[in-house]
Amino acid sequence: MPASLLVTSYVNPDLDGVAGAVAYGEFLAQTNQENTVAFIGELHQETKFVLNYFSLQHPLIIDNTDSFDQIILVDSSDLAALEGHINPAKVIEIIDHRSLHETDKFSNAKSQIELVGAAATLVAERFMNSHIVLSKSSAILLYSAIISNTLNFKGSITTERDRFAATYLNNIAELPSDYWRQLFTAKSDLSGSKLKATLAGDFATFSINNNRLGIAQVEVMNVKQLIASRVAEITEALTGLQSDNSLDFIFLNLLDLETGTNYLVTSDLNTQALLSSVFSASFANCVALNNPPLMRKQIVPLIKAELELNS
Amino acid sequence: MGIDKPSPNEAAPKNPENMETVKYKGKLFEVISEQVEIDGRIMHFEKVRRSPGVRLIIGDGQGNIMLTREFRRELNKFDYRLPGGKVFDSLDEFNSFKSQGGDLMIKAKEAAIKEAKEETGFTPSSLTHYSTSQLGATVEWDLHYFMGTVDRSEGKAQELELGENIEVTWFSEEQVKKMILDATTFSEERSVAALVRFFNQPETSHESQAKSEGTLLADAITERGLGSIRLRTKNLASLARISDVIFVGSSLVGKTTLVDSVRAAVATNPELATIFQIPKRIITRPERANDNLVENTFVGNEIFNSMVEHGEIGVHWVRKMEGNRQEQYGFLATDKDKIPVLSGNNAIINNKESVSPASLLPEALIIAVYSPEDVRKERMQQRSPDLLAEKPEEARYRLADRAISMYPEAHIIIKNFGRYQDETRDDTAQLFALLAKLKSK
Repeated sequence: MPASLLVTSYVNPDLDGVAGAVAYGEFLAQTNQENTVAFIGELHQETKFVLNYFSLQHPLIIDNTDSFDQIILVDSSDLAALEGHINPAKVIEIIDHRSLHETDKFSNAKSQIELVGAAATLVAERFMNSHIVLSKSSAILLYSAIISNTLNFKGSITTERDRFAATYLNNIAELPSDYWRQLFTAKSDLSGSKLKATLAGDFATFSINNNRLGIAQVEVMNVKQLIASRVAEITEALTGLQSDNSLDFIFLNLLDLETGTNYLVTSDLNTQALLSSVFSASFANCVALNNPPLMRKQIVPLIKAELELNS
Repeated sequence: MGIDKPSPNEAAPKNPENMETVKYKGKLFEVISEQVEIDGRIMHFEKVRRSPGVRLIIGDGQGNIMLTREFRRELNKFDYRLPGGKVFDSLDEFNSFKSQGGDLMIKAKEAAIKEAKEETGFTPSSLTHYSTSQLGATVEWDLHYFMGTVDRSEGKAQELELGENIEVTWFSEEQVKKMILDATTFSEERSVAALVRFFNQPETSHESQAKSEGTLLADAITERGLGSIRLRTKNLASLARISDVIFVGSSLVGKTTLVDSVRAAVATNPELATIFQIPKRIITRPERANDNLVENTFVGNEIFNSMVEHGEIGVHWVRKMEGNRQEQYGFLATDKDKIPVLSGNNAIINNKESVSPASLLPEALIIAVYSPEDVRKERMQQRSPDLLAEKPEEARYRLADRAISMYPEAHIIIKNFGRYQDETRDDTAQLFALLAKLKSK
């Protein structure tokens, strides 16, 4: 019996993780490598939007990876995000695009870590460099992931490779040029309890020099309105997450999908001090403008450097 | 305790006159003893009764089926299930409904619609009863299975009860078939049985609907695996019959080369020659150096119109060129029982009203040949140097005539550039062989 192979992403994966894993699973299946694509946790709202909008099949959700002998990780390369559900020794391959990674902890994995805008780009390139035909549903997922991750190519993590991959993908997906608007609008639904759920849903923790840092990331349309009316809810939710996770620092990295504007939100004074010194940001009513706009994955190394400098 | 079990061949007759004594009654279950007379003997049969439930098999019309992912207390884990719930809130309601002689199927269907709305946020416009699962002779707990379809874009918020944690998910038939085989993924075994039967019944599986010729061709091509060919499966699905084949594509994408390969295939394979015919094209523009005279004949407008009048030209349409200039395109009439293979241009799609006869397009397999702009420009420089020099406007117009505009209509796209270029001729010949096979069945 062949070893059973799981292709997955981190726990509570975002659209990039889901798209990358689903498409890579398809790639492997086309090259006669049987595999199962499945995820642990919950899908982000944005992912559910794409699946329903195009009547795509949902991916399988599993509770644990025990029944699999081998695992491939897409858009994931650090142990914390796996929350103990994955045995690093089982991981045989990693495809990721973040600079802070722990590939040394995965002793059996061959890894491709390249700093492009989305893991979806790296997976799309696998198809582009082969004779394998990509299915329309995977093309739709990958294209959506690139648009989402790069904030419609406006984010500073965007590279030429992302644009090129997107062109290739949309040749198959055939999505209209204003598709990004529908995607971002779906992403931006924070009505009622969705705000808290979204904050908790894309929340990452990091341990740096015995400091525990938590960063939530939310990208929506019309950030100004959010800040004008719901800062108190945000800081309350953050305070809750901070105590639940025993964190020394916590903040929300907030990005406007249309303008690209970046705000940092926190009521924790220690965090405000830290961020002020790293980014020369000044806080007023718990909110600071961050220029130039940065994604969480770009922010973490900068904070890491600061904390290590001061230790 | 003196209770006789019925022999295997004698089910306890459900006779409303049979006396039932309730031995124990709870909220959901009752244990009863049924007194039955068989061959003059009084026998007592014990059974457990539970109020019936409903389960829904809901599709999205795109081949996916809805499952709910729910945290189950009794399993202490998440489980994939069919959405559904109770028909009655209590056993008492069930019993009184029965004693009033109500129609259980109507009530069950109402319950199914209500459960769908509350548990999943979707309201199916119609539901059909698929089957009823009876648990056994000694345990009465019927599950009524209903099937229906919903539009995934019309989902509303769920109305869940306190403590309910249910997520709506959609999986393809293929995926559901795999999931129900795994007891740890899908634990309700009665629903596994219902789904297995559902998938194996020809009239309930959507795969059994008569496939259009377009889909049959798509399946054959997919099986063969032709690398330079991309299928527009949705368009192919709506192509019920293929009566002609039209190649389209901007100038310089390589249409002529590919039509040539079909011409060669037809010339060397008598079987193909009985099915396809490649008529000569009649065009009303002035001849250019390097024009293909095997493929085209160039005539003036009056001759063209006269040929149409006399039925010498079968198919024709108008192509709008730069400024007010127009060119007429036509093909010599072909044998009625053959499939004409025509080398068209984008005008056949962009100027549909001018296409004659009107029946041409609905049954046409449209093959779009695609090459990126830089490749086309290079080809123009090689092929028609005089055009670029003497008629820069027309050159610009031909290059601007992008392939993208016809993509929405095409059924098949042949990628004729870069690494695909070596495969396109073979792939095209194979495509026609598959089409011939399909048409000769």
